[in-house]
Amino acid sequence: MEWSDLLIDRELWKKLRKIIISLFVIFNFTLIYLCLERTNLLAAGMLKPFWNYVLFFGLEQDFSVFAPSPIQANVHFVATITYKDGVCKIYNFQRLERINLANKLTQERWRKFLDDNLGSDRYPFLYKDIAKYVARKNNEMKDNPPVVVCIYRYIAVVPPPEAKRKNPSVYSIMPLISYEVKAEDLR
Amino acid sequence: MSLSRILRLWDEFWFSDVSPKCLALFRIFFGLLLLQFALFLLPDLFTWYGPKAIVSASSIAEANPTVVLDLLNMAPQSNEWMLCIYGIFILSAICLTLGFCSRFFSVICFMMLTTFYHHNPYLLNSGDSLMRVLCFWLIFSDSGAVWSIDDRLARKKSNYKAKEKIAGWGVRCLQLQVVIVYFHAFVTKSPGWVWANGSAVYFASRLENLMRFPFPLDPNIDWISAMWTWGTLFVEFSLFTLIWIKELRYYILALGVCLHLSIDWTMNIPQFEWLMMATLILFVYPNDLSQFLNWLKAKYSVLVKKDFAAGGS
Repeated sequence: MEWSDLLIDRELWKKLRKIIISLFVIFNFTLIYLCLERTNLLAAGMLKPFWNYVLFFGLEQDFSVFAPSPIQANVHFVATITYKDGVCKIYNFQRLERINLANKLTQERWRKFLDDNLGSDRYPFLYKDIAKYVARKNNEMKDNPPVVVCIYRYIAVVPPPEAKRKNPSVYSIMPLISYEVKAEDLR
Repeated sequence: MSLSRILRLWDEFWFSDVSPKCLALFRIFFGLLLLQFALFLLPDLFTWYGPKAIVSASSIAEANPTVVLDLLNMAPQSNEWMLCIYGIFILSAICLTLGFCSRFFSVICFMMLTTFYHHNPYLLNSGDSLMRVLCFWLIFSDSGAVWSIDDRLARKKSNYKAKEKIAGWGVRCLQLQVVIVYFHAFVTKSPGWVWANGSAVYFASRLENLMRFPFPLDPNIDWISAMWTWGTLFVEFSLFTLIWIKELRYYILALGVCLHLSIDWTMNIPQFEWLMMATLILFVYPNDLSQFLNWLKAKYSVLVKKDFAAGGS
């Protein structure tokens, strides 16, 4: 028995097979193409009625790696945690340039997550969630919970090729969020 | 060109039967990469997907209120449910690699990959997207026809007939998906001035958290950076255009492998390069693959005989 027998009579399938497959292929690849072109208003408009289908099955895609140009700055992130008794602690988010190769493989998702979400201003609504995560992770002392979490972005712009210089070691600092931790955040 | 000729070409491209060997080899590599995907997720599994994940379910629901395929949301959030989904994913990836109920487990793997994507869409990269979409197309191809448990089990039946050919449209969909990657990578780079002036690889090589091993040729030197940059563009362009020309295919595939190996050597982007190299198997002509495997077999048997003779003397 073939899997298609569950859906359609075998003889009818033989007759319609090529038409159905052709329509299926054209439909899906057209949607994939429109997805890739969705910055184009016409493509976005054409995609709109089918967007729920594309999203449901996770068919949206984007392969603009290092495009239109690679990011031209090194970034990393630091959080400060202020506890109830006023003590302040620094929390360093993962920095892949400081870990060994084996750990780099498993920690790469941190680079992706932090650079894309804290490194750009595209998803500011995530800052609060990340601050809560830092608070939970650093809630280690009895009766002395974190009360404020601040997250900072450190940026060092890569010098242009004609400058013939090494990457700068001095970073400019940009505060992203100062979050007052609530009791329910720590549960 | 007449309409009938276009239809004939369409029919030939999509509906000619093909040998199942390249697809089966791709299935094995793809399954292994799925297992590697699961392994790399493991250390931070609860941080990314647990009930107290770094991105809260409410933030994700607020940003994307559409109904999506997310099995983790089908039961109340708990570590046990998450581990159950993760366990099913590993089991499915093993079954797909071994070719046991290949089509069924490619459906399960696709559902799991889509679940991981929707449950934290701020985490995954282009390689993960490609893996998910390739898994979608794998559902429609007969990937377990050879070199699989499915095939072994079928051989035990009395009316067994080996599958010399399978429907080609599933393989074509996978091939088309692969050329779409190169097409999009190329066209989105073309407006970038650093790609035009040849300094793109210089800038990419300066990103400290992406560095793995040093470049074999130093991209701080202008002409070397330009060579890497324009070479990348040329190979990406070739991989969606010239690859369809029979006489050029293996040269283009070799360039593609060189490109991905050099990126993998210099940059810490686990999986993506290996996935891309695995997809290139789909473009190998099945007869050449068979010849290559026969050659390997012959070499292996000569080695075994030599060992045996040496042991005997």
